[in-house]
Amino acid sequence: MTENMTENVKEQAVVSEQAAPQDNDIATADKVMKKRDIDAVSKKQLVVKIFVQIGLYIFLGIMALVVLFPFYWMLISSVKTTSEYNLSVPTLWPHQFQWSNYAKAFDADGLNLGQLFLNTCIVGIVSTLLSLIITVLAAFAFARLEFKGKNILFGALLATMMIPGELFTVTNYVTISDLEWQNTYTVLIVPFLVSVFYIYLLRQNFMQIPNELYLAAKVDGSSDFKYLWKVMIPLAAPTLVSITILKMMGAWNTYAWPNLVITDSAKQLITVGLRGHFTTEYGIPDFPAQMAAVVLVTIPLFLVFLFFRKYIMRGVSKSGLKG
Amino acid sequence: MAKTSTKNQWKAWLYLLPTLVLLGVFTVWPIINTVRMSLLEGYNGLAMIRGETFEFGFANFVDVATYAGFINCLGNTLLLCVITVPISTMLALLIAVALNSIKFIRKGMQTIFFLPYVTNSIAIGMVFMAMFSMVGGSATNAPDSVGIINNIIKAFGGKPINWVNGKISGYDPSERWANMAVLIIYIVWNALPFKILVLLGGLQGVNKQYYDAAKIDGTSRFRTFWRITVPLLSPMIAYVVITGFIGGFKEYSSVVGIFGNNMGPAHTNFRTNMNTMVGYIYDSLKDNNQGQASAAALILFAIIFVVTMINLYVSKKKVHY
Amino acid sequence: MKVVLQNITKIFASRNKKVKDEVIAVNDFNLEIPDGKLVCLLGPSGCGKSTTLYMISGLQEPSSGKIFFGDDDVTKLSPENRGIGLVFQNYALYPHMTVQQNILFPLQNLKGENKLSKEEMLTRASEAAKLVQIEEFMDRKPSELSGGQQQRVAIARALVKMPRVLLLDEPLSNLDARLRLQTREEIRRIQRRTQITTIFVTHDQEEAMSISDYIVIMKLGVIMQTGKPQWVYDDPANLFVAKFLGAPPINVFTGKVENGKLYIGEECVLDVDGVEDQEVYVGIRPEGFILDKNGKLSTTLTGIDVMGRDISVVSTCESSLNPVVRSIISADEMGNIAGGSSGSSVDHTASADGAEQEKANEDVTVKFNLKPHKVLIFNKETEQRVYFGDQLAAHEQMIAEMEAEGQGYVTHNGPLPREADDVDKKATAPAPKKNIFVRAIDGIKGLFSKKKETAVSADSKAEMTENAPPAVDEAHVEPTAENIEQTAAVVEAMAPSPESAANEPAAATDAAPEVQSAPEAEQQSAPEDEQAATVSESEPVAVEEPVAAEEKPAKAPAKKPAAKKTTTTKKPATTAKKTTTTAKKSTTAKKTTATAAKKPAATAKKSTGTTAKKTTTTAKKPATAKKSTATTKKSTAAKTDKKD
Repeated sequence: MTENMTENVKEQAVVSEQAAPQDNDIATADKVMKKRDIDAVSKKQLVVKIFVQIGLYIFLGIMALVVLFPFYWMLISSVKTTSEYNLSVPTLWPHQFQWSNYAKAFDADGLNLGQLFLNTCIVGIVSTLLSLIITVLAAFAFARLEFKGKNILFGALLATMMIPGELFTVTNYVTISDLEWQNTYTVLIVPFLVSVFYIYLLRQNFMQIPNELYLAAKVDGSSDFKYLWKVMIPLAAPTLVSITILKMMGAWNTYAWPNLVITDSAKQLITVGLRGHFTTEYGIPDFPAQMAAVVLVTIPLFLVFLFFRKYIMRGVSKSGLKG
Repeated sequence: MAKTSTKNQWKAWLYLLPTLVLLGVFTVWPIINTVRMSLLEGYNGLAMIRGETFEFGFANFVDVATYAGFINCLGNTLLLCVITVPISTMLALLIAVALNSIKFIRKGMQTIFFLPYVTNSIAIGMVFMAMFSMVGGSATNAPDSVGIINNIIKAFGGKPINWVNGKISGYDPSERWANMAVLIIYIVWNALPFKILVLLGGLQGVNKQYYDAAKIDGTSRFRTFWRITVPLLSPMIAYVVITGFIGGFKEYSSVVGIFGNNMGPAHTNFRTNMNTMVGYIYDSLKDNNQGQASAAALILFAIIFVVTMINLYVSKKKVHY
Repeated sequence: MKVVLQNITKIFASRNKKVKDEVIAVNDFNLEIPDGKLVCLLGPSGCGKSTTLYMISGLQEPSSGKIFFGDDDVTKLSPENRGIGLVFQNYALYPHMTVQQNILFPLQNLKGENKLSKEEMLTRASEAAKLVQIEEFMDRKPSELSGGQQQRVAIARALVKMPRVLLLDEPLSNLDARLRLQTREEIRRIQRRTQITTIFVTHDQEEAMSISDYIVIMKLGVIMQTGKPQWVYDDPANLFVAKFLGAPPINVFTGKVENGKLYIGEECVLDVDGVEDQEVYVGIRPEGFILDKNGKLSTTLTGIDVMGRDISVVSTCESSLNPVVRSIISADEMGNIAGGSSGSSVDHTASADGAEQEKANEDVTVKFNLKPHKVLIFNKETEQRVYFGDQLAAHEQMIAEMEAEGQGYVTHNGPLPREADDVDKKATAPAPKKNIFVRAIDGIKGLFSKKKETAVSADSKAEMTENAPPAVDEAHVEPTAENIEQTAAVVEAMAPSPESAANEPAAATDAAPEVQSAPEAEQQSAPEDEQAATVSESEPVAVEEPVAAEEKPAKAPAKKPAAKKTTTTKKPATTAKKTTTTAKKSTTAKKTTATAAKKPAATAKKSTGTTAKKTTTTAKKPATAKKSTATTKKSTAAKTDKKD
């Protein structure tokens, strides 16, 4: 065995130069690595491994606390009495649960929370439904139908995604004034019905459906519309769910536009009403009631998130834009 | 064949009709009109109704650019971008890597870290406001009410800081940084979920063999992070940074959430408040000053465009696809 | 560095939590790998060979048992403390680093007293590069290199830190046929030069035979046999090993031993003195046949393939487990018998003109005599080898030689590990034919339900990884494509023998976790009956319609028959358009299935027809399409090496 080895090394002069130190290294490494050392090394690596894991969990735990703390604070503050809230040594758990804060939030002067909820729901549902229809139709046309200038048109649509929405807002504000849409639901719904991003998302999804299915349907003589309804939509259902939820969340969270165009508080959306009501110039705001209102606005979103976590995360990771 | 294609042409446009109409009215026309309004000197909705006419020129841009309030907004926005994007990206990266290297309760953690995303940024902004708030606390009278953060500071023997809305006689420049700090904390907190989501997705897409190979070579964790994880994740990082900048330039509702409609502590004026570019545009609109709003919107667009291009250029050099 | 594995067992928790608790990937594995040798772990996919390798590397920890490097127990050591180099199947070269940075990377990790100066590192890196002959590419990125060059960079990176043991995980499977040959010589050369103990994992028996000092054949986590490649080929310990080694594969017949005579069918083919009476499998290597008009084994001629210096006579025999009996006769020998070697019934000239031959050779009987040392007998129950004549002496001599070389002889003596399907297959030999399709459909359905979502939605990457189908699918798609060509060739030429059809269901159903997937599936030069079996897996293209039909049977009952037809035929073709290779493949595949299924599958075919029109409404389609694309993608890589 060893003879063979040395022969080999001799035969190949080139190698022997580089192989020789190599063998030495290994030999010394072997000598160093005695039985006891191996025990020590394996013990050490175990300790390091455990420490690293502990470190990771501590880091994540702290970060999770930071992330969760505002929610926690919101919840406990919403049931504290004002005097407890104002204690100089804050309490981490309310001494006394004052649920009437919620009633107060609902009945606060000038803040008709119920009406705001209703407004937001109407706007959210109507705009989501219309938006879905429009998006599906457009995405289908771009994905399956052939017409002149398709690619150019699609490219142009995509290009508009780069422009910040505020640029449109300026003129849209003028337009809706001209149309005298102020203080209607229409103004909250119509300008945002078309989302190029959703069209893009859905089109990509449609494109993945093999063309053969479409051709087969054509051969069978089914219409485009039937095909869209019976094949494409069921297949693209997950994306449609994502779009639906994101759109609803958008309606729930939108602030700037309704704040600009709705002056009648009876037609206002929840976010604007919430912020507007609790903006106090001076004096001590009633924080617990305010927090109760905030909880009421936040909870529906959490519920939606709980049920549609997967779809939300999928949609979000693609969009990068909130709402 | 030709027959069907013409038929399809007609049909296709029918499918696209609602989209095109709406886009035409609310997207294409605004682009044109915004440019037009920005170029009409001193364009003003009310004046328009009165039948005044406006000269073509760049006066709007000049006005906007030299107006101290706008400069302040621009400064705020830039500052927010430059500070929050690196912080949130780095933090998100660390959290994503940590999440990726644990097994137990990972799903739960992931959900927790995503929570800030599904919130109403105004509502949670109000929570932050409550947490950082302080009422009273001028030189002569002690604070009447303080938020949890100031209470903690007090517990450690510090002096409460006027983070958000204290009533203070006279203007103290250091408060501006306190205001900024709250805003930064909130924006970072708000920006984390999306970044973690994207980066974690990227991490899970990285071939595990690279890490196995590194492990066999005895690569330290630190080195693995910088030499393997970061380069392999660079496309995702670039994406997160670019969208972070775009989002940063459009920052608006977080400011409203914390400071309310006047975009800053109640007593401050435009020189010192926390207003942003987008806030400025809305303010101008409310004042019926469409000319300046248009000019500001175009300037915002130009800045976003340039910054995105710079980002793309840099990432092209640094990113390993 | 000697490597010793002692009672290594690895148990995985099953991926599918509902079905089974755990899967034994490696079972009580004992092996001693001598210093400085190149050893191959060889076996079909799912046999635990890669798991074994990863346990040696330290990336996976054995559930029980010990691993020694030399005298050191390294079982608990993490990979970086073991002093190993590992070359991954996909090389795992860091894409963002140049070749030089890649090779330097392990060196830069060294700390403390082992720390090297910059110059030392560069010298070591360039030495390693020189060894694998990639000096001129040092400044390139891996993506700018060919597969073979990347492979060599990976080896250089593994060698540069001077490992005590070098591990290679299917390092050649991503290379095309020519590069594969070249690179394996290269690996052999490098190993000889460096004298580093090298362990090499492959499923390609030819690769293993040509490169290694020793091979270790595994099945379902158990060692089947170890030894020098030629020994193992000549003297397999059981039927599995005999079938696994050799291309073309060994011909297996059912037979019996009675009164010291070996019978295949009714014919007494060989004297086997001293063997007890028993039912047996008879394995005859292709080179073990002698054409002789007075031969004892008669078969029905179906074709003659001329392959340069050799001629392969293809015939069928009722007792054969393979669809055809393939014998290799040297051209000289063939020439000698030409004119005189006819069978009994028809006058027949065995000329080299295959085409002409095939027309005329209906029912031509070919007779063979057998070379005793190429005939291997296995007990039908245990599938263990039964020695006769000189074979036992030769076997004992081999063991003695092996021990003299310091390599313990290991075989598996107990009953062979079997999967449920495996047993099934043997027990119910003439299974009802339509089972194939029913099972195939079930299998495909399973795939759908798993893949539907990923295929359908425009998912984020994160989502994709989350839902990524288990590796099984890949593993078990691959062989399909690989084997299609071969099988197609075989099947096109002749109608399937009943045996082959009977064997099909087994492979069609394997949707078990990776470890359990049919070992036959991936094995490239598997006996032909098994290859035929895999065809049924390749059916998604052809069978997708029936699936659809089952989904929504109520819809669109019989419209225009003409329309139906176009749809059916069109679809596979259109799918295929995407890549040129796909086109070729799926047509072949289709043809194959069609031919293979000719008679037995009449029912299934009918159902294909009646249901085709409903594809409009099926939600399952994209998944299939996606899968077949995946298949072809794989096969493009794997294809070339099958061409020899």
